[in-house]
Amino acid sequence: MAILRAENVVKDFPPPTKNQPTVRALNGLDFAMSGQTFVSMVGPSGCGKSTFLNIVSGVETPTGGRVVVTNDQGGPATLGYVFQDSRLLPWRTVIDNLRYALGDWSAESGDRVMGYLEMVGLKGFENMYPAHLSGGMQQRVGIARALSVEPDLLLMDEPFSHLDAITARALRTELQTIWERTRKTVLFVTHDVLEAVQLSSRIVIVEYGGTKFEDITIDLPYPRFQTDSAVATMQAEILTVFEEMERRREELDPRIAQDAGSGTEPPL
Amino acid sequence: MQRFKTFFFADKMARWTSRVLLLLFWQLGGNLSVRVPTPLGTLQFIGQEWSRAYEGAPWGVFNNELSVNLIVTLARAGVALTLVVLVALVVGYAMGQIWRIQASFTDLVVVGIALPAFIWALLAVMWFGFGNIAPVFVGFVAGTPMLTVNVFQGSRAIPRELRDMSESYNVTFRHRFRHLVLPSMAGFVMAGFRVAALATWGAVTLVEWFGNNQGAGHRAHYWYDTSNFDGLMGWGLIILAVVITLDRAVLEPLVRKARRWRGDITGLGSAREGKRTVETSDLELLERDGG
Repeated sequence: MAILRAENVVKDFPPPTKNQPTVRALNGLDFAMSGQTFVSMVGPSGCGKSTFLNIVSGVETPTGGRVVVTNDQGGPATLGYVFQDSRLLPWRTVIDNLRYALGDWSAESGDRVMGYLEMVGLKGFENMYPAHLSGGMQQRVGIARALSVEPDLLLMDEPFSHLDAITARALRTELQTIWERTRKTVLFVTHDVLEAVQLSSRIVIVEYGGTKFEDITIDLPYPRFQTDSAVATMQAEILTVFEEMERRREELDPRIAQDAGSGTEPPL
Repeated sequence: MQRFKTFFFADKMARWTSRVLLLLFWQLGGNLSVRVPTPLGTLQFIGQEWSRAYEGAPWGVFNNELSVNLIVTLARAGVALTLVVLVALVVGYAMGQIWRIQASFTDLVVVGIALPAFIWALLAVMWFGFGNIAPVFVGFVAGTPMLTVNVFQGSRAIPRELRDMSESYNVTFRHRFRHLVLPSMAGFVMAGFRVAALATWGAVTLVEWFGNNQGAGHRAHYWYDTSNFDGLMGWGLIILAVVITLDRAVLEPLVRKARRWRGDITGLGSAREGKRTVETSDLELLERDGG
């Protein structure tokens, strides 16, 4: 388990061309989570969710503010990261991809990673190359890789967005089962509200411009399914929050209202 | 009968037909003029070179005109190619990673590629005279730019997403270099190595032709001076055989090994069936696990 504290996080990217201003992806984001929680960060595309995850993982450095991740003893936390695409080394076998993240090529590590491959239903595929697996299977390898480092904090960046609806549905159910079994601290980024409601114990809504808009606790029993009426009701409530967010944005900048229909679509 | 039918309707048949036809036309051409060597005369000559003791010493498997001259050229090309690999890997990789080094070396590499090997060969003979330095030097300057360009492109092609993934998992530099950097560049390095090896081999024999008293190039020049057409062609054939052997026995297996992770694995000039993609669906997996 991990403790994550983010205070006033700002991230600017250099302008795409010389005469344009810098692009601000995050604008003073405050966020905290700890314990056996599954938190989803939801917001429209381009609101800085993935940037935040990259900052937490150390891939990006913030322009301002600070992010601290520790394990529950206060030491440095181990992180697992599941990306949108599987990001596997195509020239290494499934088992070697897991060992690469683990940084351990001993026989003992082989047993350990095999356990996680079995957990995601890929026992028997360990000596295959990623090119020989389907997209869903590759994403399972990505999940097994993240779990195999036995992370204090598991980061997931829209892990099912590149998959077809049926495969995504199957993997969501599986992820829920794994989470119930392991109870890791999970920070999950998505723009799919229904997915967030199904999986999370808490949803943080980030608005366009990279600030927190709302923090909602989802108090529904697991396992949850997208067809559950309680899940659908919660989705409707959260979409109402999104509409309110959009209204406020239009009030602040009337040009957005004029451009309605051609701008960024709100998440569903 | 089935084997016979398979052979006649496979691409192997086409390849063997073209080889036999080539030999036939070559022999016919040789019969038309004494200035054209024939395959039989060439093979006979190679046999004679093999049975001719080297510079009056008693004959031995490694002490005849064929073996000694070939081994000398192979040794020179081997040393030159080792230097090519060492320098091109470091310079090419650094060019891809550090823009200042790229800016410093780009012009030099272009000059190296554009300047013909025979200019280098003549200069080297004038600078270093007879001996081993001139062929090794020219082999080095002819091969290095070829490999450098490819390594440079390879080092630029290391996928950013995989570098980020490695960063997020705190993969050590040693593991990253071995499992990410080298395999990312392998295709480029192998392609560059093939071109560099051919350029180096050609350059070494060229210097031997121009100014040396040993080696395959020198021996070809010797038979050229005596107007022995079979002799000239014989050494041409020996050089060709070495190039093909090197390509098929060393480079091709290395290229195949570097590409074995791809779905469509095919050898160069040889049809090999690619590995099949697993078609198991995620739902099947879920059912299998009782999910």
